[in-house]
Amino acid sequence: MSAIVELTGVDKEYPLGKLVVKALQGVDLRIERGEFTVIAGPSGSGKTTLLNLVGCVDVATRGKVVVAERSTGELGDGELTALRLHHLGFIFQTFNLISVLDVYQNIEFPLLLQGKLGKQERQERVMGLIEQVQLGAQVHQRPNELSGGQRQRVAIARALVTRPSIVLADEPTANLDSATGEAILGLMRELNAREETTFIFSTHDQRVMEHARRIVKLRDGRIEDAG
Amino acid sequence: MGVFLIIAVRNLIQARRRTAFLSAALVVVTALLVLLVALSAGIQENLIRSATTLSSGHVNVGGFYKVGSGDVSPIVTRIDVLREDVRGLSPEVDYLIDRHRGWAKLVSETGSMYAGLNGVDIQAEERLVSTLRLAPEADYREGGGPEPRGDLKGLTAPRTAIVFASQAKRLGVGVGDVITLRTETMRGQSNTADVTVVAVARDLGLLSTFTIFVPKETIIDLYQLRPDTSGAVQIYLKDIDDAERVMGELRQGLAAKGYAVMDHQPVPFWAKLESVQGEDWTGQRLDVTTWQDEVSFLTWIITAFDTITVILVGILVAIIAIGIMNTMWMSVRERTAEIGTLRAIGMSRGRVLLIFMLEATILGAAASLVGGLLGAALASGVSALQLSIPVEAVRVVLLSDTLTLAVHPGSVARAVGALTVFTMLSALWPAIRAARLQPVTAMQHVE
Amino acid sequence: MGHLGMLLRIALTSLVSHKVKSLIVGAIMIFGTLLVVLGTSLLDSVERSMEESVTSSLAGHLQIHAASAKDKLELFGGMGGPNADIGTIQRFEALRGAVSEVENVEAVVPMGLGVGVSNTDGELDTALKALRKAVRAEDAGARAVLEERVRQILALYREEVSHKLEVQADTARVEEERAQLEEALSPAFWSRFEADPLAGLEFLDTKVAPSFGGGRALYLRYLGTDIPLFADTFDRFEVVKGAAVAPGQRGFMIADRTYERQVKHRVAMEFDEVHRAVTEAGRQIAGDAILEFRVERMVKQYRRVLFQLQPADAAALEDALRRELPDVAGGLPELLQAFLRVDDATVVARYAFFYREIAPKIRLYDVQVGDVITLTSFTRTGYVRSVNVRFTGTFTFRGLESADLAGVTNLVDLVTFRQLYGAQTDAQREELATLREEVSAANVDRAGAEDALFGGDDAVEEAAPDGAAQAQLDAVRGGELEVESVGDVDAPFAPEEVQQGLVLNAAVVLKDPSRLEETRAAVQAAAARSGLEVKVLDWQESSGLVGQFVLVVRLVLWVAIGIIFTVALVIINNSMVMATMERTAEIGTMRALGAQRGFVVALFLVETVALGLLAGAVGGGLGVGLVAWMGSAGIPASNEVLVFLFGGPRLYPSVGWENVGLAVGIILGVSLVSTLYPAVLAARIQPVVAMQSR
Repeated sequence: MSAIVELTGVDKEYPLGKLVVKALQGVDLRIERGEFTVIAGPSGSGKTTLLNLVGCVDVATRGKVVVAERSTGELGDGELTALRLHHLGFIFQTFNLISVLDVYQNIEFPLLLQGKLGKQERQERVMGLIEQVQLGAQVHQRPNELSGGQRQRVAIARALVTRPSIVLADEPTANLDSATGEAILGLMRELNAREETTFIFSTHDQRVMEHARRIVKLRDGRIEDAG
Repeated sequence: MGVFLIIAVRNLIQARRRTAFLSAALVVVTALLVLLVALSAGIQENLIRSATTLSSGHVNVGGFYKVGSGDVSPIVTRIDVLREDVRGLSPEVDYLIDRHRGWAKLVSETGSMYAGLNGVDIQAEERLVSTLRLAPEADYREGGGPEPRGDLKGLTAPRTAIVFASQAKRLGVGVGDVITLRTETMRGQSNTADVTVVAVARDLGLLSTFTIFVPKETIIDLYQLRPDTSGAVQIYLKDIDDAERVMGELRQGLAAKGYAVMDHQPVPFWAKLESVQGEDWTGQRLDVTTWQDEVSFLTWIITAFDTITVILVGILVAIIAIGIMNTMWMSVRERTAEIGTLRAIGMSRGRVLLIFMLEATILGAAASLVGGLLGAALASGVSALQLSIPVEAVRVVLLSDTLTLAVHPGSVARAVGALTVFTMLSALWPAIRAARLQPVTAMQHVE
Repeated sequence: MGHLGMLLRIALTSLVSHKVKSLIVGAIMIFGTLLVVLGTSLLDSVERSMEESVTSSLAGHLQIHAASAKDKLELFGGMGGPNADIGTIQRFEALRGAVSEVENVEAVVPMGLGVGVSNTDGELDTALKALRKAVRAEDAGARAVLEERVRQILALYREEVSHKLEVQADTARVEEERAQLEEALSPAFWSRFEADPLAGLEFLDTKVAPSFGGGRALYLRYLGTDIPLFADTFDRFEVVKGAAVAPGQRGFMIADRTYERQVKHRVAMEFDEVHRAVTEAGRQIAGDAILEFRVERMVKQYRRVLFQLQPADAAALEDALRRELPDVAGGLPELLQAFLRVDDATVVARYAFFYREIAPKIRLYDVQVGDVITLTSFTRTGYVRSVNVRFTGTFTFRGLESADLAGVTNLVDLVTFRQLYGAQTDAQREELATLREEVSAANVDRAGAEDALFGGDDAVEEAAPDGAAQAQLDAVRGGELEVESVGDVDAPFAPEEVQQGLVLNAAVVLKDPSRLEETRAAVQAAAARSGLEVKVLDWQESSGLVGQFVLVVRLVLWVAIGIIFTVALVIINNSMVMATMERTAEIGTMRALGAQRGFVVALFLVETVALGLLAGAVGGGLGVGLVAWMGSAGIPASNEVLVFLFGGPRLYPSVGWENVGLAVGIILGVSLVSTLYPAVLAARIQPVVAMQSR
């Protein structure tokens, strides 16, 4: 099995006013293809920062981050964007749906950006995912007409529509009630099992961790337990 | 109050970009307003300057003499008595002069043109001497040097003339050359006089195209007039704004002294010749006018210009109003949670309104002040450059050969004030909306 | 390509979602488009109408004058006055030959501008003429009445003499005039008059009349041209009164507007104005300072009516007026004044009475159709030159009847024009050369030369240049004498005379005016090939100040549009920046999902272009509708200058695709520029922001 994500000696620092915050220090992490990994830790432990680096929306201050066999530190904005588009899927804590597009359009969006599939194929794939996330009745509703759980299901479908090798989810259940959260997690497990997609979560929710195969514990920017 | 001011200022600083853009728009419009007003004032000043130098005093006591009922001349008789009477009647007089009026064809070896004659006593004409500037020879003669030639005081000698550069160019004459003045009378008789050009002055806009200066005696000879006649008494006041009032007083005073005074007609004297010729009285009648009457045929320019300014600024202000409202509206929406918090901790609606209005007022005042100063600086700068205007029609409209803008602190202050008030008014509606927010809705306002 | 479809979809939905912003930016854009469409199409329409006015009245599409011109050609007047020095074209036939060859040229009309004075008779002149007629006709009754009138007029001159002493320096001359006047008023003179009326008339004509009274000097700006060709070429030309000057005939035509405003009896003209203001413009005399003043001025000039009445007519009029105004005491003068003091109630009836009863009894015009007038003009070098010419009729340009600009220029035949201008024909040059030979190199006295040439011919009077420019006189003595020969005013001339010889400028009328620039170059080239040093101007350049009017208005319009759009740009930019900031999270999300920066920029541009097109369509539509409405209703010309600019009493503007296209183009440009900065800002948004919880 090859590593899909590999971090070696990664530091990440942020300027905050005149201070420098060390968000990650000396992180080494290797995640294999098809893993269902949870990054756990209290607030401010560096979960999101780690996820940002893996998600190629940010680059490390020091060290090496390799995602899908590409070293992100050496890539420009355009290449990073392409990497995200073709290899990564995102599920955000606040869902981050495009408010002016309806459910179908939101899910279709990354496919359109890719521009690889014809209309027919796109429709098949999007409708298939809509079935899976059980939003058949809301296809043409706009995000503001949906409940939190429904929105997150749209986000999951959107993250999966390009069949990415990695799906990143930043506290996906934080804004959901527990029952909905459970359902969403169940759905993700199911997808992970079926599609062999690598899932990486960040959370500090105990129930989420129970679903995980591997739990990486972070504290104060360092890996406490690589699971 | 102090804390509100701090909140308002800090908010402005925090929304740096928004503040900057809105300020930029306000600065541009204020500067523009100042520039337009300065241009309008510049035209007005050009008009006053050229009118009161070339063809009029602040107030004029001119008149017409009709030998027969079908005849008319722009002449007043017994000028010395008239001058004394005028001086006695108006204590505001700074000084007064009298000039002869005439109209003649100027003939040189190579060209000819018509022009109004001003018969002056150059010794008494300090204002004229200080306003007229000698033109460099190159302005009117090919291959001429850059230094002016001639002397205005040369007009003390008989049979001399001061002409303007455009005329000298047209007639192909320079200082020392002779031109022939020819007056034509009704019966085809014509009198001529040869005069020597003693100075060539710089042009003073449209009016100077049609005007030259000669000694009084030249006109007296040309028209074979008695020496105690003249064209008009030109009165210069300490404050030109008194002209209207002084005219009224003179009109009454002169009538009381037994002079026949014509009804006031706000047109230049030459526009009255034809109608006066048709009237059936004979002898002397006086006509009291202000400088505005004598250039009334040009005031449409200022009216037209001011109309354009009003329309233009109106449109701009409407656009700006939309912009301010939009910005304030955004600000209100962005800060809904903050407003909710403030309301929750017990701030009254009035104070919320106050914060937003303060913000708009500070922005409006600061930006329009900068714009006003910028406009004033720009106007002074442009004016100082003495840019020459290439298009003749524009020269005619602006009454000057160079771009002249006149900046008055008062008008700058008015522009700044107007735009500040205006910004406040535009912000009123969004501010009221902010004040009306319910604390609960405001606090829940999270996406 | 799914990109564009999605971009459009996102752009349009977000336009709808951000209603306030879209409305604000859209409203500004709509307004901007409307302004440009309205402004440019109105201005284009004015320009077209003015072009029509200019080209169809005096100028033609192109004007040609000598390259050596010192002043600008200003056909419709300007700063230079009518005596502008635009050089001369010595051989018109050469020019016509060269220019007519050019394709697209329909006609070449010879021209030359000048100004002259025609003096009309005064009261005494008129009375003396009538008396002379009565004496010749031996009509004793009329003679007695007219003698009495002459004495009345002379008696009024006593006052004039004392007034002269007030202002005139030459008291000896005035005293002499007084003596002559007293002599003419003495019973002794009139008893001698009975015996020898012709000698008496001679005395009155030569000694008394020149010193007193006097008529009016009529300044006439004229265009010398081939009048029949002119009438054919300029299709708006229309004869109003009398007839056009016939081919091969000399003659003068006065513009009808000048005739009605300058030549007409002052009281009648004043009455016309007041009547027109009340009946056509719907103004009230009471309270209208200008009209009240006009009425007062009309009353003051009652003597202009009184002195023109024949004795019998005066009595008849007095009766008629007394019936009309039974309450007025006094004689005819009082009655006339009371009659002329019209008010809103009486103006219409009295106007009719005036034209029914009074107008036929007075000289309604100083110059009547068919009269011979003496035009006096200064030649280029300053000599006074007078030519008698018959006034054949008045003319106007259709649609421009009330425009002063088209109504101040009169027409005169080219032969007379050349005489007034001081040009020599080949024949004269030859004759002069012969004469010079005859008198050999001896001192040719100027007056002597004239006598030798044209002795006894009273059609031309040439005054010596009264001591003016001695140098010029010398020049003339040394070189060419400026002399002119004219026989009978109605003697025809050979038609080729107007087709060759000196002109000042020439108008070129084109078959297809839209190809003006091309033809202009062709004309210039054709003239150059023929070795003519001329300058070819278009109608706008040659028309004088009025031609620059559109230029100035266009300048003002574009400066205003420029300023408005600059400010609009800032405001749109501001709104867009704020919209961008509101959408930071959304854009961040898109970026995180794999949207490239270019996509974000394109998203913003598409959004603005869509809004711009929409606003452009609405604004353009509104503009087109508005102009169409104006086009059907017509914008009335509120003053006479506007009549000229509008090419008639109303402007019917029309809008062209180019106006709308330009407006939409500008609006798109402005919106694109104003979106650039916000779009760049948006593209700079980091995908990380999507991950940040708010």
